[in-house]
Amino acid sequence: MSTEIERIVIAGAGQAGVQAALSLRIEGFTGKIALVGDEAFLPYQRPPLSKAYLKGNVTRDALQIAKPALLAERNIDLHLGEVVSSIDREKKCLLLAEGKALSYDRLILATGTRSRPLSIPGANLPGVVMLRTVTDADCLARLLGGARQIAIIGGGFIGLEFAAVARELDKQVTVIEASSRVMMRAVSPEISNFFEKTHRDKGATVICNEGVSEIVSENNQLKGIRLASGKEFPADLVMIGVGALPNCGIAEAAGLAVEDGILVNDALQTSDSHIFAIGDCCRVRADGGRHLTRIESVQNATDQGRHAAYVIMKAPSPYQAVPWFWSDQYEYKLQMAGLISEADTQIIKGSPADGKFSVFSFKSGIFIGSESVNSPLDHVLTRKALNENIALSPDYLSDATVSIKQAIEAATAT
Amino acid sequence: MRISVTDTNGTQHDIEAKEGDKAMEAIRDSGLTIAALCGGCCSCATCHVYVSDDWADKLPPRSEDEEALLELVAELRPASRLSCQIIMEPAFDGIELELSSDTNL
Repeated sequence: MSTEIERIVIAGAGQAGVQAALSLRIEGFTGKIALVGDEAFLPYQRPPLSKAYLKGNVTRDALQIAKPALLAERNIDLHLGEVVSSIDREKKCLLLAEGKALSYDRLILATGTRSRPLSIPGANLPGVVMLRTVTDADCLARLLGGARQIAIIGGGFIGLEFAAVARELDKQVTVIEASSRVMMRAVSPEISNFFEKTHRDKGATVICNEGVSEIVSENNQLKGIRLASGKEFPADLVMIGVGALPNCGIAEAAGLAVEDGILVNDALQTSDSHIFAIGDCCRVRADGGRHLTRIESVQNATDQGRHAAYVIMKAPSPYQAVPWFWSDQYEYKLQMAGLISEADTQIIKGSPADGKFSVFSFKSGIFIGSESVNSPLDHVLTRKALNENIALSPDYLSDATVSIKQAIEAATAT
Repeated sequence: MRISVTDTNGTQHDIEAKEGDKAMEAIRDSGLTIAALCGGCCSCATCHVYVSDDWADKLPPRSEDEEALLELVAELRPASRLSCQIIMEPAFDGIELELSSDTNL
């Protein structure tokens, strides 16, 4: 497949794009690689932006995914601070806003996501911030120092991680979540409950099932937030963390199939076989179109980057990495493996009261994933079990005296 | 203080580290390649190194978390450690580490 390929262009210089570039070299690609990023900075890791970086524990340089020397040594041409304007599929060319055109034999779209905007009055006031880029994080860190009362709209990972940082700095914190529980899209009710209680125990106010109708100001000065119910909370800093939207504009304009994400087959190819999409921006169609997933995570970005490089250089093969994810809030580390949204049975091991437990999820008797709080061994063992398709028995595991380790051993012995 | 780092190509590098640094941070800041996907919070195993025989016993024992994550590495050896869990102190000046294949980007 690789014989006629001389030029590969990657649109997006985040975790996925950089990994694809590095992995293409590892797979033996010797042609030209152009890596285009719209931010002016060298590619960097985003997870610390809502955690260690905000606290000042990590410098900007330390966020870099790959040092300039490595990118230079691997002969990767960086085009930073350049916005992509369109794809010319006929001429196989990526057009940049500056008027430059990059010809490709294969194009990899790694365009990521952007913060979902919240269209309520006051969302553009000074002191209202979102968190996605290092520029956002710098802005938030600057405002955080002088802030006393912080309102966070959205009880997802970013909102809650920021809430924990703000509480550790002794700020007053109110989190408003529109759905019935925090982190609802990604975690089980047990995990939501545990973290909701943790945030409350740490002194934050957490309100679920309530929408924010307005960000209130006086003379363009931020005053607080008003809920749909009419309740008001004073705030001198408002953080909006209501999810992310995939960047599919250029794909859609080029006529590629798009559906809340750039649609790809299980080999990560879009509806144009010369164009791949990887990372947060893509939605994988698997199981003959039945199963569609779009995952926003470092693991997914790097594994898909590697996989696209493999497919381009070797052969199309299905992407099937087991998803995993983590979140740090206060002294609790949440680690997740697999995707658990379709679970019908959940078994808890350990003790939520002691802040050390795991939730194991099953669907129709098949083990589909785990969520672990301060229980890394459970996380690691289940990740291996998922990788190796070990058929855990929910009946056996539900016995309170049986550990996950024993359940895995029993499943592999038979 | 210094850390001697052998990269995955077998090349040896002498790098600088400060007291209190995680060895992973010193390696990353020196410009050597180390994936360290989770940024050093003991959530992945992509900063996995092998500590030389002379030094392995001098380090504090692995924590339960570190022990667990080492289950994920490609090639576990008795001298396997996560370099984000090695906090540099004067007694570790000159420590010899070899990057594992898990650290590749």
